[in-house]
Amino acid sequence: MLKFSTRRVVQAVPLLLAVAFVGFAIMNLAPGGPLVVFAHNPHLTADKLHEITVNLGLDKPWPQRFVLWLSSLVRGDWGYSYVDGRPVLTVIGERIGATFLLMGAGFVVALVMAIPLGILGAVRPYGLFDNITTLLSYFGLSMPAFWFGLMLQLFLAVQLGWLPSAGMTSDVTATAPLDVATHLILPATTLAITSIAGWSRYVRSSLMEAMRQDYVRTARAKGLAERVVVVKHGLRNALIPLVTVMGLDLPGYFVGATTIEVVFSWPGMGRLFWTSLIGRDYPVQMGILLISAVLIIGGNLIADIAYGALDPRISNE
Amino acid sequence: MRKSAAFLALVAVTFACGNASGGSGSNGTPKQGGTLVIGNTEEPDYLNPVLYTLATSYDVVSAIDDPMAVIDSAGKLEPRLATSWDVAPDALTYTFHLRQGVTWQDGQPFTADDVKFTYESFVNPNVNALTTTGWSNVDHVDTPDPYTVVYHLKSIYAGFLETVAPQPLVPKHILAKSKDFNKDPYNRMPIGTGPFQVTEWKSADHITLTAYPNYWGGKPKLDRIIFRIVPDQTTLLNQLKTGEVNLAYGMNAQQIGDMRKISNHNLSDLPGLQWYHIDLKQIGFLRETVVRQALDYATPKKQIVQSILRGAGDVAYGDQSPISWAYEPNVPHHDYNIAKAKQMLADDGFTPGSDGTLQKNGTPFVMTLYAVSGDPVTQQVVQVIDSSWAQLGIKMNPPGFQDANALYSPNGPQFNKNMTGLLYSWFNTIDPTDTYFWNSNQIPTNPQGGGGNIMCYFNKFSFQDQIDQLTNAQDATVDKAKRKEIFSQIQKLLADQVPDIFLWWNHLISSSPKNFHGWVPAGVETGYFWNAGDWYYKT
Repeated sequence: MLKFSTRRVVQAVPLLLAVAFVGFAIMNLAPGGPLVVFAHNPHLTADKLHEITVNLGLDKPWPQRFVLWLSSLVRGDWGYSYVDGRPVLTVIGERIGATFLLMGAGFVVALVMAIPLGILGAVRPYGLFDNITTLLSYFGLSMPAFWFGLMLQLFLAVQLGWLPSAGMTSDVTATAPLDVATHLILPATTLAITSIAGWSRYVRSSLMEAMRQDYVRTARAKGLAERVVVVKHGLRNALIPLVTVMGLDLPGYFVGATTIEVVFSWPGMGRLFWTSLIGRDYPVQMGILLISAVLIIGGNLIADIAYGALDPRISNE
Repeated sequence: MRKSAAFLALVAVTFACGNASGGSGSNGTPKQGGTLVIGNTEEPDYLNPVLYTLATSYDVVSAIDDPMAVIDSAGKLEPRLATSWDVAPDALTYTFHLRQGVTWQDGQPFTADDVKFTYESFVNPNVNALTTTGWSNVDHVDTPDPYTVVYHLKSIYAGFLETVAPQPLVPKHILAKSKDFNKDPYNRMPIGTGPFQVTEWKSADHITLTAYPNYWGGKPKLDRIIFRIVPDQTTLLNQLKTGEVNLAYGMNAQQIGDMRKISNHNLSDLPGLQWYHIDLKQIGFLRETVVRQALDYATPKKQIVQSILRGAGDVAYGDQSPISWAYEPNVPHHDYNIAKAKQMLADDGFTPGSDGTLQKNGTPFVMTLYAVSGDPVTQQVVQVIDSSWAQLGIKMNPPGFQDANALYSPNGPQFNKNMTGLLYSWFNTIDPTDTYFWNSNQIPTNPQGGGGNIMCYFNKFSFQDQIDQLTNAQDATVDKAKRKEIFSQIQKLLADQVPDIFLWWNHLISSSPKNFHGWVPAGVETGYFWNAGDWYYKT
């Protein structure tokens, strides 16, 4: 396992380099630039605009800027935001906590809901419960998150007044864990709903498949309780596709869910990525791109290791 | 284009008419203390007044840092850190007499050195100050004593007082030692001279402003202002309803109906100085005045203001706001009349081709409209105009919605050779110079070049000589009555020639609690929080 992990990490280095290069190229070849909106400002002279361009290093061609960026990165300098002049790692670092909290909560809620729903659907396929959850799953999958989020907000926060509508805290002078938790409920639920819908489908179909296997019949034949048959023999074998999907979804979770963060004013990375994209804040964009690339590679590695744990026949050596 | 604080800060004077929210009809007495939560969709960039580029930053800074004088809601310069000023008869020397006993929020005295340092920062090539207008006319600054500042100008700049006096100042004792002005921690946690100081800035969440007890104007009545960043307009409206946000400003016109329904709030709806228009590039058929007039007839402006803006706007017929002294009401109107527009094009020689598209001399009339993405109002307006112009027989390509950085770039629609219309807005000012928008000396020499007359990048207006003469005469005239006469002529000429489709003037829409007093938006040329020291709740 250690050897396997080491090999994967070493393989990741050229991959990350390629991701960085392609990302940098696309950003710089996209129309516009960080200073475009100022070009026709009545009070900014061409000379001053040129000075700012030079101060930001934007006068050099992009391949040269890529080399400069990379050599600074190797020395631990991720650059400075064009928008507010602060170090990229500071800008990203402030957002990571909020994103991890929201995404972690959303992930756990999704997991805790999706597996039982999938099992119950698979145990009595095409029964009343299964039909209802199937219908709701399609609703969950097809409904846009921003709309569902606003509906939850309108109903639970504005109409009923049970929950705060947005933000992370009510009183900015004191951060109470319970206060943050109540602020988490709406965005985490909105975030989880799509995953619950998708993941419970995977659990259901893959468990239905497993329940038709010979070893399940054998387990039943030797008189095991149905609960043990389903959970120990069926489910364990049925989880592998789910782990694959979760492994692929995980980095998406941690990079942030832009629309949900916007609707619920959650100060996370998704919003940062969005604003850095529209503001052409190249250093921040590159920072987030690299971190998300690392997370995707890491998420796949975790999924591969989890296969081995679930099914001893899969060897990672 | 994007609201730019430096642009706003520099321009002259504003009126804001209409009543301030919460001005009347409620009982109780002014209360000491309380917290005001303000919600806004945009997060400031820098809180350093030399560096900021966003109007939102300017708003926040206007509560934490005082200028020498502020433009009040009546459009007058009101003394702040300067008690008085003299302008020499030759308009080349400006002397400011500073208020004594003012301290920065770290307790250090405020002196003439700080004023001089602010000027030096603006002209320092290593400082990413967005603008040098006005400052670049300065030859040198003298400080004969700690409370007197004298600006000596190289050349006359008529708007100098309105540029320099309202500029919030920065402390020399902190920033002169800075290794890199553009990256100094001050830019986020500034030390100002205003009624409130920044005590916390949690990115993408909130900025906390706390009353500065030793403020020269007296301790502010509010204890705290919390500036919440709420990126979604609908969420912001919901937070107003739940009371999580007390005050919201710069709201979307489409929400005005919902905002009226918030029972314990006052709605403030004031005419603004921002005009929305569709630039018609001077190329192809768009060079013909009769074609532009026909397009103007085919644009349902009143319906757009009524249905899409819910009445929170004023139909525009020219480039001067109805609240400006330079406004000329008696200009030709091309009120919505599709039949007339069709007839005009037919008379001009356009005939439908085999596919129904209008054409003249074998060239089909094909156009594309563009607007910045993410703004539901302008996008709806573009859709409406697009379908209306299509009724004339013009082949309208699907509208292009792009983010500002792509839209205004050298690869954007302003610099290709197709017939295009671009919807965006300019600010005009109460003391305007029209030169920037129309004069031939403002045609960019290249796509990156400066100048507001971008429509004429390929070809000049057919009435270019006339508009050049008028705008040049305007710049050279001091007498206000004569200026008004020239402005009238300009507006009549523009309304007749339709260089662009004038659409509407914006409104400044805000909502504040009924028991909250002192909210007086002073218009786009002054930060919204210009009088935060006077804000209070009534018991």
